[in-house]
Amino acid sequence: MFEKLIFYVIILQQISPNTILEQIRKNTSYRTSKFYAELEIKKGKRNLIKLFKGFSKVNEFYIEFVNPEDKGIKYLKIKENLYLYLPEIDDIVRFSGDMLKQSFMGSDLSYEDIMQEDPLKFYKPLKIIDTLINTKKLYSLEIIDTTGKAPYYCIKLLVDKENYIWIKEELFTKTGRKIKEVEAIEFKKINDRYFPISIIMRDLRIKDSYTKFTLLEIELDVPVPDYIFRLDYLKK
Amino acid sequence: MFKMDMIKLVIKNILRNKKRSFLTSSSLLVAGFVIVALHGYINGVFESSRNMIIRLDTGHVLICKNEYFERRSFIPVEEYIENLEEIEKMLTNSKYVDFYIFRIKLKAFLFTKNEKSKYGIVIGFDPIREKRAFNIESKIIDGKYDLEKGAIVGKDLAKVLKLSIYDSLTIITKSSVGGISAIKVPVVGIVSTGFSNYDRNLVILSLENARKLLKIKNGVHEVIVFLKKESFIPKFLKSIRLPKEISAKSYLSLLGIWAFYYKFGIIFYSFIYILITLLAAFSIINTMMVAVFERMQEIGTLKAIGMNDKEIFNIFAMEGTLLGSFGGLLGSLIGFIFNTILKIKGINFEEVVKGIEFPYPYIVRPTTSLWIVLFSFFLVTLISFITSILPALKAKNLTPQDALKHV
Repeated sequence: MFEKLIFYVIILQQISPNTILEQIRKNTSYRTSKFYAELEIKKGKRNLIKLFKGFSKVNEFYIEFVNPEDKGIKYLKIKENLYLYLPEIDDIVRFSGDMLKQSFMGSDLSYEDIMQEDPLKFYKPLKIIDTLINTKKLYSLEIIDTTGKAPYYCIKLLVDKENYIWIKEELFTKTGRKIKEVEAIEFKKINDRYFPISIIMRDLRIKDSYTKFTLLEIELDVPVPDYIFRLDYLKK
Repeated sequence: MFKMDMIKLVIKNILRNKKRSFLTSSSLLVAGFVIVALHGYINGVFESSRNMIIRLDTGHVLICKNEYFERRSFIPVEEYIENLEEIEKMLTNSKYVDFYIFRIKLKAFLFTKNEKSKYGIVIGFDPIREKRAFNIESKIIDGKYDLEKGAIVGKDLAKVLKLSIYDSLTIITKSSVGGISAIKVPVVGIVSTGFSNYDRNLVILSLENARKLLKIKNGVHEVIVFLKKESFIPKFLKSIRLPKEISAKSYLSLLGIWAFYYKFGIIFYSFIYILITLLAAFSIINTMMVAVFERMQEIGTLKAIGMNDKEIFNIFAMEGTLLGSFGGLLGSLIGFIFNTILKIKGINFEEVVKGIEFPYPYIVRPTTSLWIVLFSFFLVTLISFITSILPALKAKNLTPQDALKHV
């Protein structure tokens, strides 16, 4: 009788998968941001470093590359549209449709990947398992896209039980093929949340390749001027 | 019985029932025609595709960096051959080489002023050298072959992007240093290569513009070599010395899935030819069996007057074989003439093959060869003989008494 009571108490205390997902989303969501970042792209023997600065708010962002090879290249996302400004031709082009599946600046990230302001919003949890890796207590959470709008059909997440931060993601197609892996390697506490500031993404379809994205400087929920998110600002 | 007498008897028997003989023969005529016509068509498709691949893609031999070969289908822009002097010297001095050309290849985003966009393949080449390989100039359907002034675009690509001559085209690609690079050029020409997968995706630039896009001073991705004869490929490959990071490959080793289709096609269509002929030849079994039953009394009489079993067998076997081979020969010759006419006119498949990625030509010109006529004739004759065996055996095994009972 007593053991049964303990068992039911334990069951009642189990956190639901939906709650875990919500906590992860809460940790990585923000209203605005100002950042300076580095993109390290390794493809075979080649290693490229790109630096860019930018701003974001809700579902818009502005990025400007500052490394010598890409200096002056700018991206602007306004709602679902992505615009690219190229200083060489002093012109703006709009990316759409299948082009968004292409690689972002030659990295393992696609344009679709960078367009997602809240990548987990399309997903519903399928199953959750308690797991232990290197003495760390984690949730293994499997989520699937129920809307048909997400770039990846299924994601398997390893989530830190204490802080609800995702440590690792595995991204799958509808056929069950794993195509990308993302690992969060560094976190920073910003405004009472743990924010991933360095991640490594590997596109498993490409041999010997990875992309490391690092936020060298980041400020969340700070004032950001509205004029930056206008097309005419791209040419300035 | 003398052979000539036997042949005369066989012909007489065939002509006894002209209608039936004609009908039987005509089914083998159709078989012979189909074999020759189908072979000519299939061969025409493969030859056109092969020719296109050699002229527009690989040459007889392709020289690239090893890493480029490894990832060729991804068009790795950073794997270009920088120093061409040594390679040029070697090719110029080679007794096997007819000529060679240079190409730069890129995958690029294409944008137009009216906000149309598409992913395409950009090829940069030397317009003068290129004329010997694939005479793009003769395939221009609008505008001019003036790569110094702008880009030439495949006709289906121009249609999708709603491009006309002098419209501006923005080409954005990954540069050799890993960033993004772009140029804006006017469209100076629209080309119809005759192959849908090129017409749908192709943009042609001068080597200079392509190098500008790639952000390189010199260098190319591909050195495409055309030999004096295709049979020189193994000798040429043995004779050349290249830096260790560069290699040369015969176009045959680069065909990939096309080579599989070609080999599979040969085997598959060989079975089809045999099957068609077998089906047609069943009419011979039918006709000859009826002939045996109708002529039982005659068989009995022939045996009674001294004709042996072997001669009876030969008569019926020869009748069936002659019926079939006559029809087969006529059909094969008609097929040859048919292919010759279509070779001149061409068959237009443009509407059908538009969406296909395989290098399938718009205009198919069947090949003609006496070899296939002979092969078809031989196949039809052989199968006609085989199908004649059963009725011939039936006739042979009749005793004079059994045969004469049938009045």
